[in-house]
Amino acid sequence: MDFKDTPEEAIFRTECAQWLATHATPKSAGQHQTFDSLAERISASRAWQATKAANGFGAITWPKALGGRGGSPIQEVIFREEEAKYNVPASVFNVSLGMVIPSLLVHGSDEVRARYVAPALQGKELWCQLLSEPNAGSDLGMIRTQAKRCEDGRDGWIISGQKVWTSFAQFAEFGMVLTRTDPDQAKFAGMTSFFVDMQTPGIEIRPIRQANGQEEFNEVFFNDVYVPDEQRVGDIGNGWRVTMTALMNERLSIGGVLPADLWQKLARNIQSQHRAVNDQSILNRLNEIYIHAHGLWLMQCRGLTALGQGKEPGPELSVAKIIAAKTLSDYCELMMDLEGSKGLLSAAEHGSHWQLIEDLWYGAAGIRIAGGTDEIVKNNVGERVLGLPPEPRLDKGKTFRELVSN
Amino acid sequence: MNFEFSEDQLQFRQEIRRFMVNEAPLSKTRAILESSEHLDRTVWQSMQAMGIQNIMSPEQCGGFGLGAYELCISAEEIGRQLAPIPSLGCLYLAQQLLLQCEPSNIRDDALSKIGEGSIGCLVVNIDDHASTDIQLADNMLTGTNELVHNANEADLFICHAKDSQGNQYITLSYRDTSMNTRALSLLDNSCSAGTVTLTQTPALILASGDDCNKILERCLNHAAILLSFEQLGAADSALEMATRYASERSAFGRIIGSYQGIKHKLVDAYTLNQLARVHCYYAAWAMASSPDDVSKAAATAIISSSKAMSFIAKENIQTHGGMGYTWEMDCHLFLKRSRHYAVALGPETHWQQQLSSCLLAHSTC
Repeated sequence: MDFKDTPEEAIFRTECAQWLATHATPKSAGQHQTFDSLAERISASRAWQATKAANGFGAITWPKALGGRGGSPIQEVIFREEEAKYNVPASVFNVSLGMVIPSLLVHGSDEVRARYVAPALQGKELWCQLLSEPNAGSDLGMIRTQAKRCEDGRDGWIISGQKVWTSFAQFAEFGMVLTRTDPDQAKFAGMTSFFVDMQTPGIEIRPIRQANGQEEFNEVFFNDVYVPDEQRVGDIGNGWRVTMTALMNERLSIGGVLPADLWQKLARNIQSQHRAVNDQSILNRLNEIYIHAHGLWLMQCRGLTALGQGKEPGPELSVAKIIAAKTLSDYCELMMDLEGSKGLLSAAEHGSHWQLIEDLWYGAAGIRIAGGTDEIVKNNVGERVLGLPPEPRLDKGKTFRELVSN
Repeated sequence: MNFEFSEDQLQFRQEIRRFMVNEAPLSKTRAILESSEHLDRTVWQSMQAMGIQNIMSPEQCGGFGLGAYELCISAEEIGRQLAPIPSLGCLYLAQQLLLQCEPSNIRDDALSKIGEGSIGCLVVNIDDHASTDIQLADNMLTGTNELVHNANEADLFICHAKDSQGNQYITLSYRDTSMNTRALSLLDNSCSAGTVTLTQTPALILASGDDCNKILERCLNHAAILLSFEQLGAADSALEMATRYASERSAFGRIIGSYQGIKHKLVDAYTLNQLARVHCYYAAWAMASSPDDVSKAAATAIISSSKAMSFIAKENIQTHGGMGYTWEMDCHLFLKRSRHYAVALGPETHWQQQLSSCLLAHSTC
């Protein structure tokens, strides 16, 4: 065992580091880039994505023919590790490039791929994913947004319904929407996917104010929106597969779970306080955060080792999100506790160095829900990894129409 | 990045697993629990024939001279079977201590004896290894240590002693009539610990002076790493047992593993085991090739593996319901062992202090 790069990996890392050094400024310790508004963050992220794409770092694992680098997953992770050392905007393209476009590559037509892939890669066109609805979250198969064939002679569809939790919809040029096309089939069978221009008449976007005061999510209303049939992705009734293709690609979210120096910053803060250094109950909390943070890093190292050997990472990474959310929350709360009663102050009082703590603390509550709640993750691990039987389902053997009429 | 056992090591694991499953089924641990013995010598002897006692010993002692990884893997497989053998006292403490000493005829003879199947033990104050009640005078040892792992069955005794000036020594003695050992009754009597009383026992010097503390510290850290692997194997074994039962047993018309109350609990156990596993691997790496990281890694490994083992040992009983609380089911074997593992090398508070000291010391680098 060792934690070193192979010679090939080391060469690639050097290449990344050299390129980054000439195109970005290094982060100082604990620095965290902040923006005055979400709009500013989005445009900074677009510009950075454009720079990366122009230099062959826009999509490491994509084939060269599509403008990617033709690299391996491990190279993707190496680039991200190096990129994290620089003062660059957090990417808003994970959904575009990590989920929607990969699904379009599998299920879209040649024409669609030729038109849409490059602008997405270059950061010119941002995509969002219109999946969840007010009555379909964890149980995504229960979406109600309808797509009906036009009855006026046009070769297209009329979409009506409401989506929710759509990240960056208010900034996105395009979106991929999952709709119900046949309510008389079982819930997973009667769905179809389309892509839409977010400026299409009838689409109404309302930002949602989140618990942290920010507005990254949106409600998206489809008020009888006309979509030509050529914007259908995959066959009619195949929407669930199109969606799963997108979600499967999420596995590359391996990497960068937690800031690597998390526990070190905490240990330094403790060390600067005489009372804390001598309080073993504080030190035990530091230990637990270290055990979780370092453990996550090690789990990731095992996953990377498998990837490097051309294997699938083991199932243990599936619990990483649960550990990460708890660790972030514990970390932030210990940082706050170390401030004494001043722990109740916001970054506006503490200064900008506190913004990261504040963001992570709010963020941790969201991470427990986003991309599968802790409870859904535990169901999945229990059933797929431990092989335990699923819960009895009350929706089996029923059509969607029967399910909603209950 | 290469954070995984090699193909050869994984192959080795398969062989050791097959061997331990055959040689040391849980029924043997149960049989020891129901006897007046504290270990199964036939298992120990077949392990000797397999070469497990020789894994890390150098070739001049008849050993294979392999690194830490193979012994760590073996410890995990020993743990999966809760094997009633003197792994802690002999392989993790006595042998690891000898491996820390400078090579000498005295040391090499002792390693050879262990390789041939003799049982060694380490007479050290586990809770405060800087102090000892064993006195050395004129190459003779006198004194008592109240808790020594596997002492009652031991053939050779490695002792931490001080002379009248307070100089420290690590010595070797072979069992003779000047020693008295008394087996202690334990929460888990498939393990063994005893009181050792030495009266003018002849001693050979393995190490002396300030080296002694360093040797003991390294030895106890290595023992913690190996015991962590043993716990990891036991924790996985208990989780498999609970998962199997939860997949078979029905209540209210459903297999109980389909209830989130059971399923989520077993996933929590899986999560703890996986965390412990990566910390154990990291500790094995530190033991094999990064001595500066051993202290931190050993503490992390034993804290995380004890937490995992204690959790699943209890929840395995809970998953089995009333049957889990009977002598007839094997659940109690894991419960008893979990407590033994959790304190055998000092309580969690000791390792928590060691870990936080390391973290504070490393925070600036």
